Amino acid sequence: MKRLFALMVAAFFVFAALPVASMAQDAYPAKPITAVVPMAAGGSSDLLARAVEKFWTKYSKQPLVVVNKPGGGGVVGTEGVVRSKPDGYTLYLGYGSGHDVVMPSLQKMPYDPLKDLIAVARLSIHSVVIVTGANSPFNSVKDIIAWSKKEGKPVTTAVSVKAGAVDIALTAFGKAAGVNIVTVPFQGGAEATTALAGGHLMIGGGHPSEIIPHIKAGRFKALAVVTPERDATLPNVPTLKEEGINVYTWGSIKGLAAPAGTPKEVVGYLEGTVKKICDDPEFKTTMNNLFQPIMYQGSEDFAKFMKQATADYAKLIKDLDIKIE
Amino acid sequence: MDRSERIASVVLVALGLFVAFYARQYLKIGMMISPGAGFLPFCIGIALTVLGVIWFLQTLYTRKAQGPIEQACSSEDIAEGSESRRTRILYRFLPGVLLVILYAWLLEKAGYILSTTLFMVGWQKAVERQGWLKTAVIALLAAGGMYTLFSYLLKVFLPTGTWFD
Amino acid sequence: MEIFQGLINGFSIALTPINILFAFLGAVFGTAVGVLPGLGPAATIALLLPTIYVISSPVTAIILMAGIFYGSMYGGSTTSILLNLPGEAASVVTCIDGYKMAQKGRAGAALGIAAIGSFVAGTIGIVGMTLFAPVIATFALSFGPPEKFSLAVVGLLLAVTLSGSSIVKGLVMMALGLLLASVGLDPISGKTRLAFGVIELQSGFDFVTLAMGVFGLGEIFSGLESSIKSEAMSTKIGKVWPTMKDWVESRMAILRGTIVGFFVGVIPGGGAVISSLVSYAMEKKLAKRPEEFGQGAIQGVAGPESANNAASSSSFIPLLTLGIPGNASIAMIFAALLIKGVTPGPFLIQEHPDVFWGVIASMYVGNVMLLILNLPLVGVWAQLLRVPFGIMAPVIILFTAIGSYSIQSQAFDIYSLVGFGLFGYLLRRLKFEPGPMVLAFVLGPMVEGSMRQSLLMSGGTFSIFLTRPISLALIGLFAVLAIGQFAVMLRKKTSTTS
Repeated sequence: MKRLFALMVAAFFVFAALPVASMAQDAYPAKPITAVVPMAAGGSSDLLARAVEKFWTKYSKQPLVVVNKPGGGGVVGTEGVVRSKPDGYTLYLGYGSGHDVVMPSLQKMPYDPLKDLIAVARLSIHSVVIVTGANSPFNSVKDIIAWSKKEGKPVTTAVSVKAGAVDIALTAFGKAAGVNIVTVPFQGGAEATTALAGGHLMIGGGHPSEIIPHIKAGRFKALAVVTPERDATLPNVPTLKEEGINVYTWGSIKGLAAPAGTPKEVVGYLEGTVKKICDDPEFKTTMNNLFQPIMYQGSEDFAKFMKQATADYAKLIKDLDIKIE
Repeated sequence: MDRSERIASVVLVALGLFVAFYARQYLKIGMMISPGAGFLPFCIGIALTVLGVIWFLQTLYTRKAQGPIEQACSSEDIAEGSESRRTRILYRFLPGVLLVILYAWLLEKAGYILSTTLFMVGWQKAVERQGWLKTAVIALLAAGGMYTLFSYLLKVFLPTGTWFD
Repeated sequence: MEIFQGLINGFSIALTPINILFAFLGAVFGTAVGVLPGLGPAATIALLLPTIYVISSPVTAIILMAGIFYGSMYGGSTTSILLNLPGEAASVVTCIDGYKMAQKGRAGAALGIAAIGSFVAGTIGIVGMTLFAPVIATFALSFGPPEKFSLAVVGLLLAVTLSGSSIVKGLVMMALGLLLASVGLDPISGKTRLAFGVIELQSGFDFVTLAMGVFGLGEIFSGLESSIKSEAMSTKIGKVWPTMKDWVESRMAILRGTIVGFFVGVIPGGGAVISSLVSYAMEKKLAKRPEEFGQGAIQGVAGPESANNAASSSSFIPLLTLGIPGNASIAMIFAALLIKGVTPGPFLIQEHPDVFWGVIASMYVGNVMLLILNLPLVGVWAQLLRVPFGIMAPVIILFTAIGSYSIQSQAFDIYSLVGFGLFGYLLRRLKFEPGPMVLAFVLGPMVEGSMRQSLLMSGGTFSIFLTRPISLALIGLFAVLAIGQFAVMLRKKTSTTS
C-alpha cells in the first residue's frame, strides 16, 4: 500500500514538472511575449502599451502581454528587462522615457540604457506642452516672461516626476528665458494635471495625451510645445523656438526595446510587427483617441536617434546647470 | 513581559538614533522653508528616540508600582510557561517560518506547482504532524486548486521554474 | 426633468440581458478578487483588458469593470472580518472590530451588517452621484496640496487615537509606519531613501505585503507559538445573521458613514481610507458605550464599511464628470475608455449620454446583485472558520505569498512578507496595535508629499495652510480633536490617581 502511494506521489511530481519541461524549441515566437511597462497603469506609456497589445495579435501568432512594473521612476522595471534572458520574450515598452535619456546625465544608473538595451522600434514621441489654466492671465509664453520680470516672484509649475522629461523641459525653459520657475513634482502626470486643473499652480507641463482632454474641456490653454517642431496632435500650438526661446527637448520618447544580446532575427521580427501595427488604419484611429502621434522608426534609425537624444539632453543639462539637489 | 518590553524600548531608541543619523549624513534635511529628502526621516528618528525613552521609563514605573508579590508571580509564570513555550517555538513556530522562507527561495527556481506542493507537505508534516496520506491529499488539493484558480481563472503570472528551462 | 430622463434611458440600457450578465460577472469576479488576499481590483482589471477590447460596446465594458471594482469592496471586508486580513487600505479599519466579532462567534452578524451597510451606502452614493455629480466634482478639484496635507494630518491623528490605551505605543506605530513609507524613491527630490543599495527597495514597500505580513502572517506566527495543537480558528459560530438589535444599533452608523464616505471619497488619492477612519472615530465618539469599540462593537464595522462603499461610488464622479481618475482602479477604467474612443470629461454626458447614464444605472443594478450574492454567502463564509488551523494557516500563507509576488513578480516581496510577519508577531508580543502603523504607512506619502509640494508652492511660508479656507477648516478640526484627545488623557490620569 505504502509503495503504491509513494509511486503516486512520484508520478505527481513528474506531472507537475511536465507543463514546464514541454517547452519545445519552436520558431520565435513560440509563447506569449511579455512587454514590461515600468510606469503606473493608466499613464501615457501604459495607454500606448495597451493599444499596441490590442493590435499585436492581428500581426503575430503569439499575444503581447503588458505587465506594469512601476517604481524608482522607471528604473526598477527597466532593470528587470535588462537582466532578463535575451530570448525575445521579455521586452521593454516605453524605451526613451525620462529615465532612459535624462537620468543618466543626472545620477548613477545601475545599467546603461544605450548599451544594455537594443532599440527595436520607435512608436511615438510624447512632447512636453506648457499649459496654463483657462482663467490664467497668461496667453502666451511671452506673457509669463513679462509677468516674471515685473513681479519678480517665482512661477509655480506642476510637473510629473522630479527630473523627468517634463521637469527638465520646464526647468530648461525657465533658465533660458530668465524666469524663476519653481517646479512642483507630483506622482505622475495625472496628479500633476489635476492639481493644475484645480488652479493650485500657475503653469504646468504635460504630454498631449494628458493635456488635450483638459483643453477640450475648456480648463487648459496650451502655450507652447518644447519639441523642435510642432506636435501633430496640437497643430496650432507654437514651439518654444517660434516664441523666441532657443530651447528644445525631445520630450518623452516611446519605443520598444529588448535586452542586449537578443538575436538579430528576433529583433527583425519585432521591428516588422511594430511597423505593420503602425501602418494599420484602426491603430491610427486608436492612437488619435489617445492623442498620441505615431512616429515609427526602425531599429537602426531608432538606435541612432536614441544616442542623439541622450546627447542632446546631456548638453542641455550641462549648459543650463541642472542637477538633482 | 517587562523585560522584553524594556529590551524593545532600548532597541527602539537605538533605531531612532540610527535613522536620525542616517538622515543627517546622507540626505539633505533642508530647512523648514524647503524640507529635503531627509527632513521627515530625521524627525521620525528623533521621535522614535524620544518615544523609546518614554516607553523605557514607563516600564520602570510599572515595575515599581507592581510591588514585590506581583513581581515574583509574573516571573514565576514565565518560568513555568517557558518549558512548553520552548517546545512550541521549536516544533511549530520555527518550522513554519523556515518553510515560508524556503518557499520564497524555491518559488522561482522550482516553479509554482512543485514549490507549493513541497511547502504544503512540509507544513503538514513538520508543523501539524499529519500522517502521510492526509498530507498528500491536502498538498495535492491545495497545489492543484490554487494553480487552477490563479493560472486559469485569474490569469496571474506564476513562475514555471528556472531549473526546468 | 433631464436627470430623470437620463436615468430612465440608462436603465433601459443597463437592463438589457447582456449588460445584466456582465454586471453579474463583474460582481462575482470582483467579490472573488476582494476576498482573495493580495490581488487587487486594479491589477485584475489590467489583466482583463485584452478581454475587454473584444467587447464592442463601451458601456458593457465599463459595467464589467465597475462591477469588479465595487465587488472587490464587498469582498475585502470578508477577509478583514474573518481572518484579520485587510484586502485594501480602506478595509484596515474594519479589521479592528470585525475580527473581534468573529472571534466572539459573531462573524455572521459582522458580515451581514457589512453587506447591508455597503448596499445602503452604495445606493445612496449613486443617488448622490446622479443628482450632484458636477458640483461634487468641482469640490474635488479644489483640493490642492495644502488641503490634502491638512486632511491627511487629520487622518493620522485619528489613526493614532484608534490604538487602544497607550498613546506612546500608538505614536511609535505611527512613526514606524511613516518610516516604512519613506523607504524608496522620494518623488519630490528624486533621491532614494533608506534602501541601502537593495535594488528591490527602490520602489519602497507595497501596502499589500506590509498589511498581509503584519496582520495575516503575524497572526499565524503568533498562533503557532501559542498552541501545540491546532484547533479551528473559532469554535463558536453563533448566530449567522445580525439580530434586530444589531440592525437598530447600526442604522445611524450606516447613514453617517455613507455621508462621510461620499464626500471624503471624492478626493483623489486617499479618500476611501480617510473616510473609513473618520467614520470609525465618529462612531466611537457618538456611541452610548464607547468602551465596546475595539472589542467587537457592531457600529465599528457598520460605519467604516458604509463609508468605504460610499467612497468607491463617489470616486467615479471625478472620472465621469472631469475625466480625472482618483485611484489606480479608476485609472484602468479611464484607460480602457480612452482606447474605446470615449473621452471621459465634462462632455461625456453630452457626447455619450448612454455611457454615462448606462453606467450609473448599472451601478444600481450591480449593488442589488452584490447584496443578493453576498447575503447568502455570509453563512458559507462563517463556516469557513471551522476549517482547522493546520489547513487554513498554510493556505493563507500561500495566498498572501502569491499576492505579494504578483505585484512585481519578484521573490523579494515574499521575503518581505515573512519579515513583516515576524515583525507583526513581535508587535503582538509587545502589545502593540498594528493598525495605526499600517494606516500611517498609507497616509505618509500624502502627508509628506503634500506638505513639501505646498511649501514649494508658497515659497516656504507655512501660512499657506492657514490662508486657504478648506485647509484652515481642517487644521482647525485637527486642533479640536488633538485638544479633545489630550483632555481625555488628562482626565484619565487624574481619575486613576485620585
